[in-house]
Amino acid sequence: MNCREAKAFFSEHLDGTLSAKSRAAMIKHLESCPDCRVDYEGLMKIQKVLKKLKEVDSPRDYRIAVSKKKKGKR
Amino acid sequence: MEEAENLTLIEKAKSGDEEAFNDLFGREQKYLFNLMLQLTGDVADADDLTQEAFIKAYRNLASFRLQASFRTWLTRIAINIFRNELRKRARHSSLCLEEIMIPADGDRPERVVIKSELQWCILHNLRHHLPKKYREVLVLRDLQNLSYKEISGILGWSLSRTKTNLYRARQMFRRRFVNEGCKAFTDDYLCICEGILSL
Repeated sequence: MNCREAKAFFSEHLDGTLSAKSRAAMIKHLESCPDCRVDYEGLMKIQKVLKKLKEVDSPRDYRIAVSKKKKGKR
Repeated sequence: MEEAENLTLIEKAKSGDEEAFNDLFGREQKYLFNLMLQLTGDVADADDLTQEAFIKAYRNLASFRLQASFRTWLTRIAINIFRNELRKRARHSSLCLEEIMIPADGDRPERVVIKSELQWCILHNLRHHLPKKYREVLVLRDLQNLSYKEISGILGWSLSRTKTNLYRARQMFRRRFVNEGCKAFTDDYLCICEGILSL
């Protein structure tokens, strides 16, 4: 497997959707390619950073706005 | 919630059952607001667009054919509203704060706000440094955990295009966020905001 082929598998591997065969080939490539390893680790870090984005509560009950529309329709 | 229970709720809501409507829409409020916030990067915009999405969903509920989950259907509506809004605002694009020169002296309040936190940095980078298509796929996959299949359906892309764009989106976000980085939250990197504004 070359670098281009390995990179094509990075996202799917991170998402856990890569087949066992492709996964094994990708990992083998990473073991022998420092550049791809850095690239892959960077993507892993980004996923960790994105997971730190906290969900916030919605500022209001949007059903009220919808209810007003419903009443307006009647 | 079980899918079957959800389907019952949708059918009841479609036939005008107030309680079912409240249940159905109530449980999606937080999800939809956060999705809009991640797409727009702005609380006020997210609030407006969430309301618009709910009203549109209500008006179109009768046409919902149960081919996708309610959330997927709602997300498709939300994405369309977001895209329309971007088109309307194309001539009035907002300015990235990094382009605003703030004098280096003193503890000006705006500097404190800008420095604030990771939440701001993530939303800022999504809003200002990722093209729309990459922002959408990154938010749906990495922030909202939708499957490739769901994302393909919502964005109208093939599965393979979804995977390619997701990879490119992650790479672009990474280059922007990690390579130049945010020192306050990831020890190895220098924060863009800190670097430029020299807080």
